Amino acid sequence: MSHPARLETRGLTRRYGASYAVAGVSLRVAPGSIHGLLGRNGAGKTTFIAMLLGLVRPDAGSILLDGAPVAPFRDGVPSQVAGVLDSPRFRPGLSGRANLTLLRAYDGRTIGGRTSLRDVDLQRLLEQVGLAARADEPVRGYSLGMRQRLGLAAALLRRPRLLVLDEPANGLDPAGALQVGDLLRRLQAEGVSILLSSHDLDQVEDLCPDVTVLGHGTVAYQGSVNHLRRTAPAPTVRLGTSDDALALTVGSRLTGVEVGHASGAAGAAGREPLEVRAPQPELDRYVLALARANVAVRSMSVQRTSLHAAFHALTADDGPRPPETPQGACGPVPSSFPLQGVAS
Amino acid sequence: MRAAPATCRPAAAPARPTRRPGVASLSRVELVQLVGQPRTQVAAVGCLLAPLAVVIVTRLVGTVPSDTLFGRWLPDGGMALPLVMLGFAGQWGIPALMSLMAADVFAAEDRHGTWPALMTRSTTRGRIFAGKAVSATGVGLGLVALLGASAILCGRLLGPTQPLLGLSGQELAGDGLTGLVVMAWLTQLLPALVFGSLAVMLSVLTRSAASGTAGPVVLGLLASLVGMAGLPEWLRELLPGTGFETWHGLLAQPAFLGPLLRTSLVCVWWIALFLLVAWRVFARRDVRTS
Repeated sequence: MSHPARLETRGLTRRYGASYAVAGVSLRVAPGSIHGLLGRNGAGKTTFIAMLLGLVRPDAGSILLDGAPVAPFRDGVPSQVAGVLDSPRFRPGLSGRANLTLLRAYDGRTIGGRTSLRDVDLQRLLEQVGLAARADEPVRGYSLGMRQRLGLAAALLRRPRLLVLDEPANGLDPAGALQVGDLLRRLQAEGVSILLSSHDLDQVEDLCPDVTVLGHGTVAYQGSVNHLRRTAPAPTVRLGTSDDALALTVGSRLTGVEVGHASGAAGAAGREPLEVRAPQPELDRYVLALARANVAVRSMSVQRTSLHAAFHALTADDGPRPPETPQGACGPVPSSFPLQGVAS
Repeated sequence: MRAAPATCRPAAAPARPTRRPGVASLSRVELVQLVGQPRTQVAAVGCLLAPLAVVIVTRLVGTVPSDTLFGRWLPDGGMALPLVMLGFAGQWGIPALMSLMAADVFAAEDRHGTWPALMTRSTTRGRIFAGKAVSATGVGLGLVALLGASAILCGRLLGPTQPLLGLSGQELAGDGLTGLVVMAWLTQLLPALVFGSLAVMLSVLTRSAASGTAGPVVLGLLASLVGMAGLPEWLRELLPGTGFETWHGLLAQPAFLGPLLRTSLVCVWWIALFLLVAWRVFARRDVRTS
């Protein structure tokens, strides 16, 4: 018998008026895994996470934690779950440390003056997120990145077994984002399950073996990143050559290679650079063919990786949309609504 | 970000189920926050000094508010001072104090965008609501009590043996008079809670401290005006501000307590109504992200 997922949602749905923000989203996060949640702005990621954290009431569907149904909106967030929403906010007049102390009290860890989380642990937590040096300054002077770190500390304060993060690297510099990645890996190694919502495809690709892609509130893809990459459209490469006209002609003779001018982009000497879309073997053949035709390749840059290409294809504006219902009508999400590309 | 230690043990250790904080714990937490705020401290100092300021202004101006109940005895000190202050406080002072404390405790979380941080902790919305409402109205009531105590103390110091004529012409003096004045101030607590609850409701409904603060004060003044408009007594007693005046019966001979008891019931009804509406909205509200 298989272990229940640490987190499972079944048909989670939320709508505003006649339109669905989240329509029948089901996903599973295995114990000790990092699961990516991708989607464009407005795809429903934040609403989905807000439902998991009891901030938004689901209209339909269920949430299971270790196989047991929970209702965070009604009963509060279970003690083993913690989360951070995008751009977390805190009481501006209090210091970072005082904010954490306040939130710790809301967790019931200072009842009657007895503290179950020692101050030394709080200090270690602040060091862990890189905020120890400025923990005693008022939060009103914090940058977005520092608030992100404080939000992460506030979540870790709960010693969660499931961590739900919405854009945790938002506002962080590249070094900070990398260190958040390291922190998440260490948490994972210690058995914490993580649901990571992010716009940063590279970070998701780096951390998450499995992803759910949301498009217009529905699951556009669910499965492994590897599978997504394999089935993705060819990557796009921008090319600068010594003779673009000849390069176009060479490209048109090869199968599996699409070559054209990159519209709106300025290349060397004011010319529009060439944009090539081809799988890697065909791209290699094309470069060799250019050399045989005495066309020098002066520059080459990858514009869109296969994962980016897949993401854009899945979440394109003309992608599937959940049906709208008459104003005021209320009912379950139609079961016939297509879920595309779900990989088992 | 600094180099992090090699282990995340504090964060990742399996969570021991913790007892969810109760209303008393959350009220205490909020109480500490409220008392630490400058506006609460300024209000407390104001309550302490207001009686003294009334005495000084009265003596400097040289006229007495003779059209106010017990106003003509104000320069003599004694219990006239807390009773005159009680008359004014009931019209706008107490509603203002209550709304000043109660309106912002909810709206501030909206203003700062901090609801997500609070609501993702180990507690329920019901407990958050109750903790905040109890602490805010509790601090408001504390300030009303402070104002009353300060006025009584000031009156005792300025005119320790000054007798007073009651509303039936009987002479009131000594500890008996002080006891009646203390009781008169205590009758203000329930009507004060009505305005505190109203401030909570407006704060939750509008998510604005301004409307939560101004609303009860304006309503208090309107209720006073409407009350003077010759309404039938039974209708007047249904107004939320009438409870502030029923202490008059304590100073009559014999005391008449009927209005006091009836308006107390009315106050309980208003408090329940305002808090119920606020809770229903709060409990169903989606907390959008910051």
